[in-house]
Amino acid sequence: MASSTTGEKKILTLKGGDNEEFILEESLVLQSELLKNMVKEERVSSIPLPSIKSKTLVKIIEYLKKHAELTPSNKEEFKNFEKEFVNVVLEELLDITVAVNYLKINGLLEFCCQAVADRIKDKSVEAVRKIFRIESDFTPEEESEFRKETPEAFEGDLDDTTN
Amino acid sequence: MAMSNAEKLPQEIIFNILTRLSAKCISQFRCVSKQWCSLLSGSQFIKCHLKFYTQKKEEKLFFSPIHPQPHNGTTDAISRKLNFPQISDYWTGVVGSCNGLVLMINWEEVKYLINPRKVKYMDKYHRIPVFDLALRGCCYISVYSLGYDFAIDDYKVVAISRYQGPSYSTFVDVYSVRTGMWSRLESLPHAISISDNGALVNGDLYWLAMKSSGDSSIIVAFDLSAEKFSEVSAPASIDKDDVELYNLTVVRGCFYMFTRHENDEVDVWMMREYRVEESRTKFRFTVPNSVSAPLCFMSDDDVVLVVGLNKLIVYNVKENQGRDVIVDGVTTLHGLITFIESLVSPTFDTGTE
Repeated sequence: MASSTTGEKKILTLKGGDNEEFILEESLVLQSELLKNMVKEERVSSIPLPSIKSKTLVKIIEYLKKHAELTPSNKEEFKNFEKEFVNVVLEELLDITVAVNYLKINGLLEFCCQAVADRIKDKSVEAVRKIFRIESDFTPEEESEFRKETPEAFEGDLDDTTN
Repeated sequence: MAMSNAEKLPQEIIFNILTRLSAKCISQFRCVSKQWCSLLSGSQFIKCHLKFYTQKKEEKLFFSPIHPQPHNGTTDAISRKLNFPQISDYWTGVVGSCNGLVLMINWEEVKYLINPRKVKYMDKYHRIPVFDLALRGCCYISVYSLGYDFAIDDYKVVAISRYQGPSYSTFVDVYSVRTGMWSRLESLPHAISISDNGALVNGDLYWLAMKSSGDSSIIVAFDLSAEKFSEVSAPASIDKDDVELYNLTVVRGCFYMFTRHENDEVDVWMMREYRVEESRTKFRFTVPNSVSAPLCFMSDDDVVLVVGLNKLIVYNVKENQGRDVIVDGVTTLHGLITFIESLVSPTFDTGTE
């Protein structure tokens, strides 16, 4: 029997990008398609996730725990938790979204993408470029053509950080 | 190193996020970069956007005012005038709406398929040619409907025509927007006069029709992929002598049937899936005088009704009362239809603006 087994509950260690270790019940990570496959097929007890920051991993584990406790009677509470969950700075939300996409936690991915969409929908083109770290590759002529055709695209919320 | 930030955002996430934005927002974000421009203009994106964003959002009202008479007092909505002088200044009908495309007829009887959201650029419309076999002269009636054929990703215009008078031969012509060709189908199986523009649900068009033999209403369905008609019986619970089935409409993919009792009470039957009895719910309200058609729902309890030919009222089902809808201070509207804002191009040129 593997050392990672205590009683009936299997324990799994996740290693975040900065080598911080998180010990949790294996059943929790089954919500992630990626981890589920690793656990089931390769029978590992420790999974390194170098691409995910520990801070992000803490958030995701928090979600997995809450989601595992979801019952019909605490639906409202869970909804409020979800709202609070995405109420973080946009950069952090994007980090979470990328990690969730990598881990393949499908329900949470949809929720995160919608939260990002809600946050960027009133932004100006300039702000969106900053948020997604995109350099415009249009020529100055094309750029001024856009500004002439759709001036409203450049008038939106310039704030690219918190909201 | 832990990855930080958005520069590592995989394309699939960007795609997922952006399909949740409004059509207007997406046109603006095409200015972000060349990569975004091509992503947001691709047919795959436009189709996903239609599926994920557009279908669940509010419908907009589309109309052509004939003689606007300013109305003093409050206003419920502000309209935006759409300019397309290249095609026409004078529209006589708005006859179909599907996935953000609207089928319009101008005073010369020329039909155009447009995406109202795009007319700002004034070059995005599709002129429907006249069919060689189309009925001519002054003594015929044609009704037009617009639908989408899922099987081959094509928009189709269905024209049902017959000569006025005792002859009941009904001609059915179908136009494919993708190929730009008309074709004539078999005539309708029997004498039916169809008088409205049909309700579109999941690739099938439904009309309320009258049998020439009597005055009983029937429902005729047309499968846009198979291009076949079928007669559909009304749900058993509706099919009673003292009940007149007088309109069909579709709002947000749900099918609504309006039946009128002899005492003018109206029942509204809502079905999520046609022919599936379990998906049906019913609510009832007393109809105001001369209501000709329910148009759409503003909320679960507020239904917008067309009164006479061109007046709108919003009717609260719970409180059983209605009031005039005033748009830009005008109460008289014409050619009313609802549409959704989408990125779909009426010209099949992969949707770029």
